[in-house]
Amino acid sequence: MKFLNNYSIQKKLIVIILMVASITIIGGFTISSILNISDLFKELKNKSILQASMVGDYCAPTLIFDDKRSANEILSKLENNPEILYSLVLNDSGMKFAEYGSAEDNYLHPNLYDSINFAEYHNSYLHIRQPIIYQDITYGTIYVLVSVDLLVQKIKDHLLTMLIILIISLVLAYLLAINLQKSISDPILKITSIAENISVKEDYSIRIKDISNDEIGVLSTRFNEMLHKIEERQNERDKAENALRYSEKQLKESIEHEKNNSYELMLTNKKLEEAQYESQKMLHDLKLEIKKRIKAEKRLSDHKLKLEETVSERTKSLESETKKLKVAQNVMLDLINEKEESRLHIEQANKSLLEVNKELEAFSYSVSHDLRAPVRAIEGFTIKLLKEIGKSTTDEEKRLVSIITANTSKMGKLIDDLLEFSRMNRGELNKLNVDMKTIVTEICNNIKEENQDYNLEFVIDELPVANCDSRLIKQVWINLISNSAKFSKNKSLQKIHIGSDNIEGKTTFFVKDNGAGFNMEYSNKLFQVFQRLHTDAEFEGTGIGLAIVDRVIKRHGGRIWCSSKENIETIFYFTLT
Amino acid sequence: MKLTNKNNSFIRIILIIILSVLSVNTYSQVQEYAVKAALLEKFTLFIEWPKESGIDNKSQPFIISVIGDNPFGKVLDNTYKNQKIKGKEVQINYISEIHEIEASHILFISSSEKNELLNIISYTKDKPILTIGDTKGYYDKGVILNLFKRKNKINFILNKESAKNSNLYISYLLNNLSEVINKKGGEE
Repeated sequence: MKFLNNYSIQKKLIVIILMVASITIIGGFTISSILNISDLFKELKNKSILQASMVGDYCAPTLIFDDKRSANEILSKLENNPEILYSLVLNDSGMKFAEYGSAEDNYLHPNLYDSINFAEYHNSYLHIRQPIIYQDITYGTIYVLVSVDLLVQKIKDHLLTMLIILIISLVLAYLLAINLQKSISDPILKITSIAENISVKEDYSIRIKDISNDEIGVLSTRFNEMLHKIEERQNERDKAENALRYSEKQLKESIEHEKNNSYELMLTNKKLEEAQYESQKMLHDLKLEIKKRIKAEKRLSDHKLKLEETVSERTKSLESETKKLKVAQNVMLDLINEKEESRLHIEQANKSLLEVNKELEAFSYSVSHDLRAPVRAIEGFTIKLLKEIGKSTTDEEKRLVSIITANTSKMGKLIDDLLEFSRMNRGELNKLNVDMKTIVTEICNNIKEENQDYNLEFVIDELPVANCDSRLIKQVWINLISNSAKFSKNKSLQKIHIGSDNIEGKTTFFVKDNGAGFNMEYSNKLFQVFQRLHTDAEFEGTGIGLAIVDRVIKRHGGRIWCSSKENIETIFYFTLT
Repeated sequence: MKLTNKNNSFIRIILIIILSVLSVNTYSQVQEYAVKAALLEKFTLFIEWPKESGIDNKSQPFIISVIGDNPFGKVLDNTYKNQKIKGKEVQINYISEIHEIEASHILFISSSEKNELLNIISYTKDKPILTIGDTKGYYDKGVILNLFKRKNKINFILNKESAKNSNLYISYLLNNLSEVINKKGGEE
């Protein structure tokens, strides 16, 4: 039944039921039909034999009395049975005695005249040949030819009936199968769908309801029990897993803890070993020490004796020395007292000096500030006066007035510089990262423009960025570079080189020129206010520029110095740290 | 008379030849009674006598009595000399008196007994005696079997009432055959 394998259980059941039903019905029908048909044949045969016998019996006296007419009369009664087509009565010598109906010879049984009795179907007819016996004496023979048409019709009717019943039965069986198979397939399908659900959703809490009382019911119950067990096991497993996880975690922790402990233990052990070793060593050392000490003690006691002797000797000489020392000590104490006094004096003087310095600075600032206005007034009015008197003045007068204006302007300049200088001491430093190269280049360009009648040549190296107050440092560069330009104006080509170098680990900027220079003997005076190494006639100036520079550099915490070879080369160096 | 079968048949043939030579009429009469003699035995095939008549006792002979003039001549004796009826020896009595009828199984009533017929019938009617005649009108008087000739064929007619009274069992076959004949033509 392999063909069934691919069908659903419903189809299987229907097919099985139908097959069983049809096999049973067909089998039953076949058997019953065979039996029936053979019965029909037998029945016909028996009936015909009986009829032949009876007719034969009736014919017996006609044979006995040799009454052919009566025999024919009796045979003619066979017309009541349409199945009998022909009948013949033979007398005891085998001659034709009476006859019913008509038949061609080829329809008759071949052994009709052979004095053999029979009752058989031959050539689609039933042939019966029976002896006519009366009281144990045979008087003749009766032969009957029976048609089977009626029999065939009966068989046909029977088969048709069977076929109709078969079809009706199969239809009923099919309808029944459809309904009956549900009682088997429905629960199975239910179980199947639930099982599918379970396998897809992995939800083991689903249960089969409506359990029947048959094996499927048992299956459903077992299935439910199984699901219940699976669910329980799953829960247990989850629990166990959780517990396992928890214990694993704990184990890990404890292992970790243990590791730490063991590590600590190891450390302690090591330390302990070390300590042991140390203590052993110490013990050893101690022993050695003790030995030494014992020896030393011995020596000491030896020395002690000697020492006592020397001490007594020395004590005497020491006493005399101590007396001398005490005298010297007294003299020194006096000296220290004097020095202390003089130090106090100096401190006081310093203090007053600082105060005076401050006052002086304040004074110079206020003086220079207050002086500016009158000087500007003098300058202005002098120029005005010169215009007023204009053409009427002589050359001598003009010269005198110009001297006045020149001096006033010089004074104004001086005052400005002084103010500038004092300003350098005031105010906070505003330190920023300043690009020196840009500042220097700009200044050089300005100076070149201002002194176009000079033959200035600037060489500017790459300069590092410096952390400083840009306004102040710009003033430094202006003063230094304009100084170089000023002091080399006597040269046909004024070379000014500006660069930086690393001197003693510090970034050092320099300005080099080939100007007049100065005598290095007086270099310490260079950075003091109003100190000038050249006359105004040689190089004009206020003598404040370098003082300003020095003050700015010092405020930045840097240093400025210079080297000069007169008329060859003069270099000013400065650092900002 | 002790003769062999051969001799007997030979004599019978001779006799028949002689008779036929003597007279056609005689011949035909002899022929007719030979058939009638044979018929007697055939009738017994379809008739049963009650047990009281001692029919089953094979030592006792089957008695055929002929009352009145004997129309059979020697034919009856010859016919039943060697033939048994119902397994019994056949004894043929030729009688003239009514009281001689007793113990007979078959009583052939000759046509000479026309006048005595009623007496005979009244004697036999309650007894198991098969009365046979071949005279017209005997049937109506109560003879059980009456023979008659039609188209050169001996036919018979059965008086059912007489048969019933005689306490004899007459087979339906004989009855039937008789009826058929009866229906067709009746007594001629």
